[in-house]
Amino acid sequence: MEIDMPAAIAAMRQPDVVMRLDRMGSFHQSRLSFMRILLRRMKDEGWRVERRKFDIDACGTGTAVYTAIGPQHSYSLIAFANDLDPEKRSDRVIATEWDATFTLFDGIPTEDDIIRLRANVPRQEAGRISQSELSLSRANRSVRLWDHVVAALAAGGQPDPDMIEDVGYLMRTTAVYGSGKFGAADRDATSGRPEFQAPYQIEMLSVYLTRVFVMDLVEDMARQRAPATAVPLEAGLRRSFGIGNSTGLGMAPYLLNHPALLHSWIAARKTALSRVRGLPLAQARHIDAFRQIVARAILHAEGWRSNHPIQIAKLADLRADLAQLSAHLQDADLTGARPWDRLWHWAEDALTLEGQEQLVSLLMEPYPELVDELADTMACNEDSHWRIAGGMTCARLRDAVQSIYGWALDIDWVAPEANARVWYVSEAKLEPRLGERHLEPVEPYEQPLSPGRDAARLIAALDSFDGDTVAAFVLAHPEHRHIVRRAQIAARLPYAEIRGNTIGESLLPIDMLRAKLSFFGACRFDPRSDRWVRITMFQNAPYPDELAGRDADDWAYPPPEAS
Amino acid sequence: MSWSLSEIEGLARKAARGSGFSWGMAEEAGKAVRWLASISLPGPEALAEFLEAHDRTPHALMRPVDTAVNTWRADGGTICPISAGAALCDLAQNDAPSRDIHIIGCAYPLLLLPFVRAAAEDGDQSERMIWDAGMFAFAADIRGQTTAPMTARADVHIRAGTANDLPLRACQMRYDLAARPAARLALMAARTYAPDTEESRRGGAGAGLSDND
Repeated sequence: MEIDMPAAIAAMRQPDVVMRLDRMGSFHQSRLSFMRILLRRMKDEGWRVERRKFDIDACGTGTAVYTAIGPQHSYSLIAFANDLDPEKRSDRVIATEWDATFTLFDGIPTEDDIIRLRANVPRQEAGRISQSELSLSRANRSVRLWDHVVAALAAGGQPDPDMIEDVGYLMRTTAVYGSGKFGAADRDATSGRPEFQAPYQIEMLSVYLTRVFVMDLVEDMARQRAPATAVPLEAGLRRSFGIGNSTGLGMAPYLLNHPALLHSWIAARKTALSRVRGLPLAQARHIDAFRQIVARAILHAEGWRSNHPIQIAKLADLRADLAQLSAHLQDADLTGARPWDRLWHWAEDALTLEGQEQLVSLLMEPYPELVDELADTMACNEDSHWRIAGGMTCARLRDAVQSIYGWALDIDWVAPEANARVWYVSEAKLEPRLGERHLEPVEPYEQPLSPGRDAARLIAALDSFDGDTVAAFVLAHPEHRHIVRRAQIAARLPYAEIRGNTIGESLLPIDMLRAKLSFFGACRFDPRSDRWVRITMFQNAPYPDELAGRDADDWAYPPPEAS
Repeated sequence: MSWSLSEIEGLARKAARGSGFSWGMAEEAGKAVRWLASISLPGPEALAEFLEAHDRTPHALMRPVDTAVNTWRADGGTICPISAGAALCDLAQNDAPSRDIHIIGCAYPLLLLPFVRAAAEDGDQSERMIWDAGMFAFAADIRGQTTAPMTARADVHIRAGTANDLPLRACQMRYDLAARPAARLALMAARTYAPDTEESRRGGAGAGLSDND
């Protein structure tokens, strides 16, 4: 396929536009989402999943092991199911017990491994795992849906599709820890394996296998309740269950703590868009595919529920945008020159951020051959960007800071509304939290998560420094070393830095959560406050035993309505 | 107990911050200690002793005063290995590694090692670090040994060149950190955590709606 490269490069959007928090808070899943990358690989490589152990009693207590077998390595999800006192069920990080806990084991566990892990995994943060384990996670039931599904299946019927549609999952994970946490293997230990080259593949595999376990568990509970009458879930209905996820502030600082990696993700997304926009012509089959995916995105937006006022407004925007897009497509001539670029320019004026970002994802859909290979560019060797270039002149550094943080240099950082918040880590749970600078005594514990303010301070310090080089500056001013490093990274990698105030009064941490979760491939963002959000993962995706016979990458939007 | 290297790095970074390092310097300490642990050297233990010995000492007293000359000294008489090491790396793209650098009164010289190795990498030339209790050489491979890794203070020479007679260092993905040094670092790290208040419990993580549905 011919791409007009100069036009494609020109179409790369500017970081000042792309990296705004409100836009990042409008991102949608796409072909480059980590869940979709995983399932495409599992299908291409013919992965199998075996249930090696399923030993759960009538109370729902016991152990199960599911092993995913790839071309070179196998990975086993070990699940510990628990009969949880409903009083103790909480998604918050302060919880100490869950309906089920999990670890992804590197290989196939022995009985001794399982005994060791049974003493640790159910305790989550209070336990300890080892180099053999790649992740640690837990999940709670959706009480409203779980009981309904068990009762319906036990009675020989199927659950109400409207109730499934309303909730979307039987269990939701409340944390999925990977990469060295609580003793687990570091990312370095596995990043050389092709299946884990793209980001977050361990965590996505763990959640994908968790979904298999949860569906088996619900059917098993129905069978144990009424062995004579119970039936399994009908296959289509079964696929309509995803895995929920409840994510709080703990995830928000990640995007700030990994600037080079953030650049890789955003750059892949932007490159994909610019490749599509750079196409001189669209073929009829691609135009058809695009129209169809727009219709399915409309269904997706209709099924997306939230009670949070911010999200209700965003959903209204999205639905109105999609209606406008659909109407525009009735008349738009997509057979002329540079049709997608013209459509994009139309959208920039006609649609809100929700619709524009949805369009970015939709434009990728017809073009796997242009987009999917970019998955290989989304990992990042962060160490190679980490060292400070001490030979840079202070004048050059100052120019770079002006260009990257220009938005921040006009802010009066002494004003209470500009610095209202403090990111800190709480003693009780060692998790990131957001405090009120002027109301709580937390400022001494502030984490370095305010690049805008720090850049403004850096400029002031540079203005009164009479040395020549960055090396001399950071030697005299170690307090600016952190922001100098960030500025140098962002000078090389344009999408490394969020262009917005991360400590202001109007900060919505859910914007940061949504940006990250959209890269996971999450759908149906449902904020429960300004700082935690529920989502659904893998909804409508094929199960492992269906991968060979179905399209592994056609599930992120609901199936087209029968016409 | 067996620690992952990212746990070691995080603990070291937070401990350094808790002991008064700037965030940027604390990050350097975290990376340095991680690297030492990855070649089986007692970086975490050395950092614990160093931070206790020089807890909350102002950076200005322990940084090299003038890095343009070949003999580096600190105003307080003892040089912080993280500060000197970071300065060495910052200069590495210019001319520093090709010079003979003499660091007078370097605290816990073991903690300077990772920076010499990084400077060798950045400056793209072989470097050696020599002090009275050890010698290391960084070229395409990592060679060296020390008889007293916990030496509290020594003068250090950094020179170009290789030393192929020194033993090769093997890399590892884990580090066995004993409870006592881990607890000492954790105590420093804990200074970076805000004590819980009822207000923070309710508001900080953003609860509000029921999450049991």
